Amino acid sequence: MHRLLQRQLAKARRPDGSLDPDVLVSLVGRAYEEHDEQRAFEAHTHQVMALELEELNQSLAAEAQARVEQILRGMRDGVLVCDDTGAIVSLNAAAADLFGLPESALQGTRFGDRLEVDAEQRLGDAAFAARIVRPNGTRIPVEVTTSETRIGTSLSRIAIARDVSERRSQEAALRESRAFLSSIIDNIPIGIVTKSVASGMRVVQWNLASARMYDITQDEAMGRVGSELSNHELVNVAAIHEAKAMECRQPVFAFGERFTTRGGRDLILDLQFIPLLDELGGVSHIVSIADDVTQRVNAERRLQHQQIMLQAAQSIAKLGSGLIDVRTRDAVLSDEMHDLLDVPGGTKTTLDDYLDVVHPDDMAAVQAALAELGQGKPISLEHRLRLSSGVVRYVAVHAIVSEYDAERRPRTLITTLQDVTRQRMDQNALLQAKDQAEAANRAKSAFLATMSHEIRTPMNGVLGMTSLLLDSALDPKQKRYADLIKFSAENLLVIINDVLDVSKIEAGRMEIGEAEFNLAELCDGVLERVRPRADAKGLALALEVVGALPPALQGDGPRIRQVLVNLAGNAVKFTEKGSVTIQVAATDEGPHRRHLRFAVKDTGIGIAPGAQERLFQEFMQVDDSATRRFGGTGLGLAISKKLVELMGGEIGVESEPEKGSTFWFTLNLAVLTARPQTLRASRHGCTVAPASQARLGARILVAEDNAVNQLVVEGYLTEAGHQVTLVADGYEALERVRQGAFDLLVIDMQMPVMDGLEATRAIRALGGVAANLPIVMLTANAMDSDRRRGMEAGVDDYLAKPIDRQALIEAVQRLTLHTDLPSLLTRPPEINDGQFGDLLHTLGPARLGVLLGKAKLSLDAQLLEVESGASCGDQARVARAAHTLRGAAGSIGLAAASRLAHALEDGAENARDLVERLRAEVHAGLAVLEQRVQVAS
Amino acid sequence: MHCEQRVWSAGVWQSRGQPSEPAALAAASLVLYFGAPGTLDDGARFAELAARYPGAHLVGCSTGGEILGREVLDDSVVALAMQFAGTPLATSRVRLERACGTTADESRRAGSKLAAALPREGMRGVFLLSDGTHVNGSALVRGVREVVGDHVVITGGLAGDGSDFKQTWVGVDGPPERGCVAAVAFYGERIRIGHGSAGGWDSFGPERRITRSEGNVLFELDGSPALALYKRYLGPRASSLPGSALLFPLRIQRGPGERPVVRTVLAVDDAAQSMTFAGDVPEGARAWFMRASHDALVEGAEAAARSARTASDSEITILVSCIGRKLLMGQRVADEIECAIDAVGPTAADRTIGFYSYGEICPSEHDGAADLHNQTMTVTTLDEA
Repeated sequence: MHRLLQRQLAKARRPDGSLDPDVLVSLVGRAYEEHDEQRAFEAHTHQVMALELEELNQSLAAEAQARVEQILRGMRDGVLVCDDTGAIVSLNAAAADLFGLPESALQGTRFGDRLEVDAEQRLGDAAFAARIVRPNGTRIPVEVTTSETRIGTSLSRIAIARDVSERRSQEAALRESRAFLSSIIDNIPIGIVTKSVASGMRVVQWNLASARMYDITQDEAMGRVGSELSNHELVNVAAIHEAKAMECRQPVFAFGERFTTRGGRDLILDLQFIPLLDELGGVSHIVSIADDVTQRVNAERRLQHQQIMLQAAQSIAKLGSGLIDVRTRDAVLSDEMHDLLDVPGGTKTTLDDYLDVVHPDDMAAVQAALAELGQGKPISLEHRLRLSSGVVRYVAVHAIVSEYDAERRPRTLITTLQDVTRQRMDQNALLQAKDQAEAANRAKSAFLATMSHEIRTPMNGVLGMTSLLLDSALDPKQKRYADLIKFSAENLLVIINDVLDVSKIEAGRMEIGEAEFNLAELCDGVLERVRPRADAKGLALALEVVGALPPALQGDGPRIRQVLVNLAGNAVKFTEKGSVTIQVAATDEGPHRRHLRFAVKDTGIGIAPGAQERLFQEFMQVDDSATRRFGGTGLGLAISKKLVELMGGEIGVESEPEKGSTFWFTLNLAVLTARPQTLRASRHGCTVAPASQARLGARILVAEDNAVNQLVVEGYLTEAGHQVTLVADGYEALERVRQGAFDLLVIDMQMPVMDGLEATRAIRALGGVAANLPIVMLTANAMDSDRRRGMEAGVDDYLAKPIDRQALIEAVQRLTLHTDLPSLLTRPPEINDGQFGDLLHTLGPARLGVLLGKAKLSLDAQLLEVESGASCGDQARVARAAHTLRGAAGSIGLAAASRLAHALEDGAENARDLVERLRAEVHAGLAVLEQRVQVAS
Repeated sequence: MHCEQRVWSAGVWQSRGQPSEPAALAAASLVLYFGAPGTLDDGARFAELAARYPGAHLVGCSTGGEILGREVLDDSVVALAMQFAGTPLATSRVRLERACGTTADESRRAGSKLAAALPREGMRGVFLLSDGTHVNGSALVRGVREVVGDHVVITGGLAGDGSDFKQTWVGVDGPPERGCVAAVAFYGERIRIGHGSAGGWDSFGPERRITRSEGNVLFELDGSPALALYKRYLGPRASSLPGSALLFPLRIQRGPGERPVVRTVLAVDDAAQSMTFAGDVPEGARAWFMRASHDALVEGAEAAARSARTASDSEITILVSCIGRKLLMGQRVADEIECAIDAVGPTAADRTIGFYSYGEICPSEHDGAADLHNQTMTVTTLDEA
């Protein structure tokens, strides 16, 4: 029995064991219900599951569809589905883009209608190449793959179209790049030859450079093996290297291979053989690269030769060279440089190493030169080296900057260094010898100068006494003897002066003065000097002036006069008949300078051209016979030349034998003032006032220690009508002056007790009238420095011994007499009559006359001082002198002059004009006052 | 082994089978008892049993159906008293930290605490009874296992509440309580413990994936509410949720190659659209609905029993079967009991007790480690050498 039923029966039994039918029926019914429920539930479960599975299926299908669509959308290739007639059923966006049309426009149209199938391709193939034709006519290259699918009974064809335009353009670019590469290979100036291993080393590439290099064209070479191209040894060389490259699979090199081309050119080639490997690692090709190094090798050889020569040259000349890097200071030195610096070859050397061996005494000079070099200037210097071995060498160094950096700072320097120790030693010996010779010469000149000086003092006596003797009563015979003595003494004096000048020039002691002088007066003086001899020979003597001569020039008047006298004297000496003419031409050299040309023309014997050169040399006359015939030392022209040159001028001669000569010289001098002046001596006039105009009876104090000279001076002055008082030294002179009553002092510079300079200074310091005493200084020292010292001390004039009678008389006249009235004054001078009347009444005419004379001297001196001060802009000097002048003028009643001086003292602006007016006022005033004094007496 | 079967039904205790010696009964060392919902609440039945077996440990719980001998009973209390000659016993008890909604961590701590209260020396086996509606059985067993080790055999089950899934009762050496876990441990060399567990369920329908869950609470399968799916499949039976959900247990595989486990529903929450299972339902795991036929279930029970038998004639048999099986089989559920008993031995019925549970505890066939099972018949045999 069924277990369930048994359990139901068991459960349906009552405790007494009887069966309860109601319970049993209920249990059984319940079991059936359970079974039915179970069945129903299972059915429900199946239904739900089926439904769920279907839903799942649908969602999976939808998902798959969506995924396919997504893939199609994302694809860059166009995908088209066509039916069995070729009509497009569906397509993706990429396909629509390819066709350039919306999807809707393409659906239903035939795929093949919109394609141009490439040649040798068929539309029906599984894969073919074609071009899509867009509505605007553009064509897109595509590759199409097709496949067929059968869904149910219908056949679909799926086409995938890929846009290959980019690939095509890449292919085109690749072709272009290959062509470009090939063009480079063809045009590169390196021979490139490629041989194929597989074809038995036949040429597969032969570029244009190879064609040119080997004289074998590309057409001839392609497809050939080496031995077919040439039987040159190079072919064997190449074969050996090619085999080696193939064996070791590494590039193989061959340098400097020589080759003669078919055209007969000799080449030197550097060769490389490069194996090209295929994918399996085997050698497929050998590329040989040939570099034509012919020129380079030849150039290197030339360079090598040059280097050898340079090295040898440096060694022979003991000349080293170096290249210095300014930044690092490293130096690259030539072999010879190493030897010179005593440094082993190959040693690393720097500029500092060099400086280490520079002689300490020369270090400053070397550093200074380096500084100049640093500024880009080439340098040359000689200095000493003290090498580590202690050896001292003289070296000549030259250096330049050879390279600059971007900021124009020196980058590298090239220097040469030459051992000049030997030359320097020789030179030193020479210099020493020269110094010795010069010292000897200077000693000689000093001796001569001293001797000349010593001779002049007695000569003074001889000449002076002879002059006095000639003025005394002599019979004709005595007079002739005395004349001869005088002539001989004068000649001797000329010789002595010449010797003295030469000595001074040689000793370097010739000094050129800078003082104001009047050129017109100078020229007159020269004429007067040579006139007696010209007259004696019956020669015409003339002065010609071209242009206006400036009134006051600055220069050494006495020296100019000396030159001119020499030239004029020579002209007279060497001219027997005809004339001697002195020409002076002045041309402007700016507002304050004049170019002067002096020329002395004669109609004498002339000079042969060959002799003209020697004329200006010392001790030379045209020939020795001339000395004998014409006399003279032969030094005149040499001295003149030196003097002119010392004064910055030139001297020369133009001459023709028998026709005469023109000796000339030029000078360039400063003009002191712009004052125009007529040349008073333009005719035969003389600057010296005529004796009749000289003031007679001036009281002259003569201070001279030498008795002979006392006699001479006293004689000259007494002859001229002056009163002479003699003293023997400066101190005595000072005492006499202090006591007064002298119009002039003639004083010797060198005296015992108190010399002339000291005495002059003391007199000038006396104050009062005595201080203004005119002083003429005498000296045997013919040096300009003496003259300057005299002027500084306060002397008014200066005369060299031996005393020239004429010069002495002139000086006395000048210092004691009035000169012409100036022309500037347009109205009568203003006189303070009351003041002057008082003076006249108090002093009397005679004493007032003396006073006026002294006042005139003082005023003249102060005028000069004011003038000098004004010309050089020294207001202090102007004020000082003007102050003195104001007082002096005022005290004698020169009212206008006093006012003008006051204005100058106060620093008036138009100083120069005022000075002119002051001078005119003073001179005119004085003239009026003197007149009044004469009237009064 | 001496034993006595008693049944309380319609207010009266009765003995079944051969009555035992009175002296032996007084010396009983362990009494297992299982009672229908409502029968254990007042503690009277416990007191009566305690009085009858004064020297014994009393361990029991509420059920989804009582088993005694070959019978499946309702509205009864069944008891089996055992006298161990040479096997020391120990019991322990823990209360759950919260009355409801115990997390996996809390369940695991409860298991550890329960085991820690037992002596470890010589322990051979543990029989667990746990609250059936508020515990995460997997975590609980893991907690016990971590303390006692894998060499100790752990079996047992979750208490039941008929098909209501509301409240369950568990007691050990005291009146049964709610929210309680009890254990009895067996010690010594003489005890022999056999065990076996089998389901007989087959998966059906599409593979699903757990897309949202928290511990043993399932929210979504394949992105849709799991509760709605269950209701759809249950159709008219949806009204008897959560019990009816037992008809569709869930087979879960955490990852490829891992052991699949079967999970049954303990509770549903319409507001949260969630379902609480007796064990973990981890996110990302694969899941299938399962169903079974009557014959498959019966064969499963027989297989479990064969695996548990120890080949002696005196062994005690404890059957713990899932409430889902009873729901499915109705009156014919007794078929599985009979087959199981027959598989253990010809006289086994006199020494058999069991209950329909909300979850079964037994070492897994897969790796031997004890775990929670659902929808199975789990058989434990006890004997002394």
